Amino acid sequence: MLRVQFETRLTNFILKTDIVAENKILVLFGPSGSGKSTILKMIAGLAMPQNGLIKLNGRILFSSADRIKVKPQFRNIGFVPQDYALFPHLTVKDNVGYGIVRKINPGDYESRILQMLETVRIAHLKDRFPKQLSGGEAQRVALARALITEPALLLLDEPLSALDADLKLELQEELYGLQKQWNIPFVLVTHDYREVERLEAGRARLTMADEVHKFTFSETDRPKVNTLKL
Amino acid sequence: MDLAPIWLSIRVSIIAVGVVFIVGTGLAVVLQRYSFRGRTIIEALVMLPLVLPPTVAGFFLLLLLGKNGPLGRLLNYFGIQIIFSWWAATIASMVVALPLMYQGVKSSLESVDLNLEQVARTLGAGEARVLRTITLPLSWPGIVSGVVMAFTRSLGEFGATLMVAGNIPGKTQTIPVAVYSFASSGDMAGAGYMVMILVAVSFSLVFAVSAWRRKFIRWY
Repeated sequence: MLRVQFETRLTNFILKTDIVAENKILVLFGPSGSGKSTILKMIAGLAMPQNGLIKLNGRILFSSADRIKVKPQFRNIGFVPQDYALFPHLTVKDNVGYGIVRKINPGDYESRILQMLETVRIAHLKDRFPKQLSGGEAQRVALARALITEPALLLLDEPLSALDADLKLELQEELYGLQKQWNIPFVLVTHDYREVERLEAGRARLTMADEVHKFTFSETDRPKVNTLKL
Repeated sequence: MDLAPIWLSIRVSIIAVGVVFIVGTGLAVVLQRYSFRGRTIIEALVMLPLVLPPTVAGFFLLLLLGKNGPLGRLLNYFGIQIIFSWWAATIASMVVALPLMYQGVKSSLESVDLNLEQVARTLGAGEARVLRTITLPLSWPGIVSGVVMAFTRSLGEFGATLMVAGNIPGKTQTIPVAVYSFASSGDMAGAGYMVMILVAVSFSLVFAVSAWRRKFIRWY
């Protein structure tokens, strides 16, 4: 379970967050520039809030009161940024293998990568470079690269916005399936309400009152179960 | 034809670039990635030889390394005299080549997408691994062109070299110094050979790195 509760001053507003993510998909939605991506970065440890608490499965990752700031490399959190950020100089296989240690047994390393690639159905792309991939393929590589490290939480920044309508549906369904399979919280950020409607997910809606942007569960957006309509 | 200036220039440039490669890359990484007091001053000092006349750089080196200079006196104490040796020519080359190496690496580092480094961190990579596996490999074009620019600049170094190393045939007379020497004594053929060799080497290196760079960029 992820608990995020913090308050931080950004350039134009104060960002307040109070969310809990259980082992399902949690969608944060609000317009662009409202601070959604910043929240993900703070959960991943790539940016620090001014004060608050971030706790994952009982482990404190950030606490302003106790002066705890766990570095991103020790947080065990998968992060799929908006543009996927695949390493352009590495093949798909090496991209996916980046986060796992090449152990004494190189065969094991190889087979783990191949198994992961098969899970997201891109095994045939293993020797390609990121430049040779389509948007949907790149998305899958980014997912595989994050999930193979067995993270305790997966963060996805606008994972579907760059894809065309058909692909959007397909990947949406796949995200749903992967979440079931991994059984960890997926925290997903989007500015498009329609993307959210189809996902069986909890939601945190953004409320903006002048100077303060607040992410919290409002009454109407309590985590609820939608049937997946495709 | 006396080949001594050619071998000397090559030896001086290889050693100078070897040092400049490490110092320039290190400085670029540190100055570009970390902010601390005095960062801008260090950067300005590194870049200064690019805009100063080499004779001015040579003058400062003379003050530093000369018999009464702080470093010169220290070395003299150990019986080492740097001024008017080929080491002085090497040091002069380093000073004028460093800004080119630094600039090449710096501009490449700036173009590396910070998102890539951040994702690498979330995948468990510490700073050293990020630098070794992401930042430096993606800065490769700038590092290579920095090395080539520094090497060709070093081959062509004249002003500062003449000030600190002088013009001793067979000892400190590099190609550019030999060209000046031959031409001023009316030996146009001798000067012409040196010029041809210098131009040929520099042109091929600059041409090769441009061609390679284009290919490298197409890869990604």
